[in-house]
Amino acid sequence: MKTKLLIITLLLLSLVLSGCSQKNVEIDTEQLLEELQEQLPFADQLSPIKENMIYHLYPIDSKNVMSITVLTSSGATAEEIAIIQTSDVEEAKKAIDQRIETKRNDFANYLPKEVEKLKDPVIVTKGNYVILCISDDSEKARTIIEKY
Amino acid sequence: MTNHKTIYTKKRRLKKSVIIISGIVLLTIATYSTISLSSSILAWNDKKTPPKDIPNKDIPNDVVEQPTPNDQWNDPVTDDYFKDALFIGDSRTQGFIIYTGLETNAYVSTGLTVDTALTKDIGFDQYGHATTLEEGLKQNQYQKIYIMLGINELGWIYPDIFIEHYQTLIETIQSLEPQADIYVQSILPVTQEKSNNSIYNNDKINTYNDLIKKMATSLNITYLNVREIMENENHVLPEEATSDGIHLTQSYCQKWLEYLKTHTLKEK
Repeated sequence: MKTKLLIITLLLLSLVLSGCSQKNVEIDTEQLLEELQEQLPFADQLSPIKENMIYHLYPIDSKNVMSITVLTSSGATAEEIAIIQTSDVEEAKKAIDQRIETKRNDFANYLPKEVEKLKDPVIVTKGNYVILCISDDSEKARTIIEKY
Repeated sequence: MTNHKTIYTKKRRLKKSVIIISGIVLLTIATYSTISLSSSILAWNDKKTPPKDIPNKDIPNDVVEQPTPNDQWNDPVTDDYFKDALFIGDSRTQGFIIYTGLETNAYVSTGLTVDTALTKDIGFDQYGHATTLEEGLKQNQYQKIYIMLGINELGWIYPDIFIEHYQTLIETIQSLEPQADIYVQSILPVTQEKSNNSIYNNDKINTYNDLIKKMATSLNITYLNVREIMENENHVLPEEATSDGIHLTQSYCQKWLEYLKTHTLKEK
């Protein structure tokens, strides 16, 4: 009985401590951006936008943000990549949802084929990072992001 | 019997040892992870600095070309000049605002046309304004207003209808913003390939621009021929300027901004 109790306690302790370590995620943003742009079939060349403009497009309190990078299309497509490191993951996810909704409205009557990309945008949360990738290959995007 | 008891005791001891060793190993792994977590929390607190910029070739230095001396234009202005400006346009202007990061005001929307510009609900307005242009004009005062429309109207059959709507739009803007300098910009060309294969036709763009120029004169507003800084020797958009023949790359949006900075009206 004592032995079983000992096993269970040790297992539980290990699980709890290991779970805490999942929040300790450091993502090499540059490397991830490079890999996504190289591996995914983007139709447009994505360019980074200035931080002040990012906060116009993504309604996030800058005080919560440790780092934020957004690469976007020229307007020819709905393609976009956003990598947000934040202390408020829920706020970032909500901002991303809003950005996607804006893009859906923008492209619905303008370039309906781009709306396809917005049906399954890749949104991944890893630790205190929230990552968005809108492209023609959501499956591959997800696979790449999950590696980080 | 004694042997069985000895073997049984040994087995029990062995079992206990295995359990204890396994537990120590698991604990060690878990503890290592925790130590790493603590280190990163301290490192993150130390690193709470502005995020690094991702270098990009498409963001050139803020170089402003010196214009030819001209009685009409001021010396080149800085980005601050546009803080009390308003930009009205379609997806090309939207791309311009996003790619330059200009701190300004904008009513921009994909698919915007001269007949919908005043009343189209542009939805979530990231610039903190009302969601239609008309509401925005009633609520705010701007010192300069830049307009570029027409690319989405190239499929209209009658150019006269296009320019009638454009004139109505500008007259409304003038009545709501009498203090503003209004700049109507030439429609930027498209690439030769785009022009050959779609309704986005450079000949039609040229026709519309002639009408826009005449309208500007009749309404006493300024016609800005922005296309002259974009087009190549054949008066079309170069292939390097765009990925789809229409929308501009970041570096060409910067060229657009440079043109505006060097073409601001002197006070009369």
